[in-house]
Amino acid sequence: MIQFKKVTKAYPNGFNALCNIDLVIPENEFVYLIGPSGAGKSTLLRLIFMEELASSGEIIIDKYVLSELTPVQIPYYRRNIGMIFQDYKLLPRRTVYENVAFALHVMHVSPKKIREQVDYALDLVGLSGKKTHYPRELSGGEQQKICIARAIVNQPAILLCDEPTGNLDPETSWEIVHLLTKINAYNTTILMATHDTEIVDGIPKRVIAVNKGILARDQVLGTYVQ
Amino acid sequence: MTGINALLFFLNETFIGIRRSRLMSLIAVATVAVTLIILGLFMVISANIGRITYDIASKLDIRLFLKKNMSIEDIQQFKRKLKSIEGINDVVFIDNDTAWNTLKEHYSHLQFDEFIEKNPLPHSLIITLNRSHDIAPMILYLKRYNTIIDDIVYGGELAERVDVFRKFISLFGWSLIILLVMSSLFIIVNTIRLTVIVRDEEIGIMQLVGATNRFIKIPFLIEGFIIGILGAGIAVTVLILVYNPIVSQLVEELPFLPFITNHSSLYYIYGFVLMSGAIIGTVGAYISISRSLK
Repeated sequence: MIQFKKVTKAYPNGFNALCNIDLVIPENEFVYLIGPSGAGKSTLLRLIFMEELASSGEIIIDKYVLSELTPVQIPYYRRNIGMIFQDYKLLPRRTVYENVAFALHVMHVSPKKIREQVDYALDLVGLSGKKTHYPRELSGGEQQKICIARAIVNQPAILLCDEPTGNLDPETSWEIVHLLTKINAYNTTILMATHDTEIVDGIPKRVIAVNKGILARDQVLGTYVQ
Repeated sequence: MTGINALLFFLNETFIGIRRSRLMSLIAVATVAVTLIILGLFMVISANIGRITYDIASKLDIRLFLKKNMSIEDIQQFKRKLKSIEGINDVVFIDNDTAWNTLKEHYSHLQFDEFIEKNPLPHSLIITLNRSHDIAPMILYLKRYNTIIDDIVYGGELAERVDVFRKFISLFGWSLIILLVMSSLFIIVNTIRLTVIVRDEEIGIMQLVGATNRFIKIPFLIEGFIIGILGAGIAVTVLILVYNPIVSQLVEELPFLPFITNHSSLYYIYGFVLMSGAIIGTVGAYISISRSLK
């Protein structure tokens, strides 16, 4: 469960990225987060991932009250959340397998479990045959799939997707969204920031629209344009 | 992850890091090596001076150089008087001709005869004390005979002078060592800092997938430790290789000085050098990575 209670994020230069956001996303939901560039979508995701801290209000993610977490607790909290990025953020000098396994190494998982879980995640995203490839040897879509595999390899409860199809062609974008839908079916809450009208309209889900830092619309089975 | 698996993972990460910044790592190893060679040299020199000081101080001989106007008969009488004093074990008379011939023989390559025509040495007496006897009161007693004795030379005085020299060398050496260690630390900090900057994106990704700061730090600390211990290893090898030939030469030139010829007496210095390398490397890496993870 993701809960925002009157959350505001203000920057020192006076810009308010988010204002008084109230939001509840129950477990296993798939939510599109839409809005123009600079509307506050990425800020909202970064607040959940604790890359940034809210200026006021309270964010509760499952059992965690984020304002109460100490810097030492943040890495442990992040292990419950997967994040995928528009620019993939992969380790270029490591193979597909190593990139995905890395997320488990940091959690001190045993080598046997790492093998099992990585194989499962790569199988799920359809990259089992490319374990030994390096990211640069793969297409954008395949790199995004590595990123997804890495995000889900430790089976997090929540998956945050920051414009995951932003750099991909329409066909690959559909492939990625179908993959995310499949992951959602395995009881993972998905919050996906996107500009892609066709996807939002093509696979109807709950739509949360933000504009100029304000929650403009919250619609069950919504469309991109109201 | 079991301990051994974690260790293997961290070692692998460390070697990936070292491979990526090979040149900087080599420079850091060389810097540590140079610093520790100097540290080791000072310690070795200090240990040898310490040995010499101890040796001189432990010899209880007192040499009395007598006034030139003393006749052989007067000297023999004085010798008998000294022999009767409690605490004096033996008194040996060395006439100036014997002393002069011995000196010329010992330093035959200097060919004294070419520029010194007349024997400049006085007659002398060598007093050996009983081991239990304190040398200082004896010197005070002997100083009363200033009409007979021209100069008194004894181990204690020389040892004191050598000790002052050793202290000076020590002070100078340690000041230099502190400076070198600081500069070495500075270079290590910046070398590791460069490898951290190169891997900045990677560190960011590590944090995104939930790596703790400790997890991120460990490979860098091992890298620092390896750089330090490699530098120290080179320093110890150089010291061992250089020490033997130099000491052999010194023993030949100055056979009366008890230089340390047995390597096992220097093991503690080599151990200290290795430990210093490991500490410099690890502390340097810790400072560097801690700054980056703030």
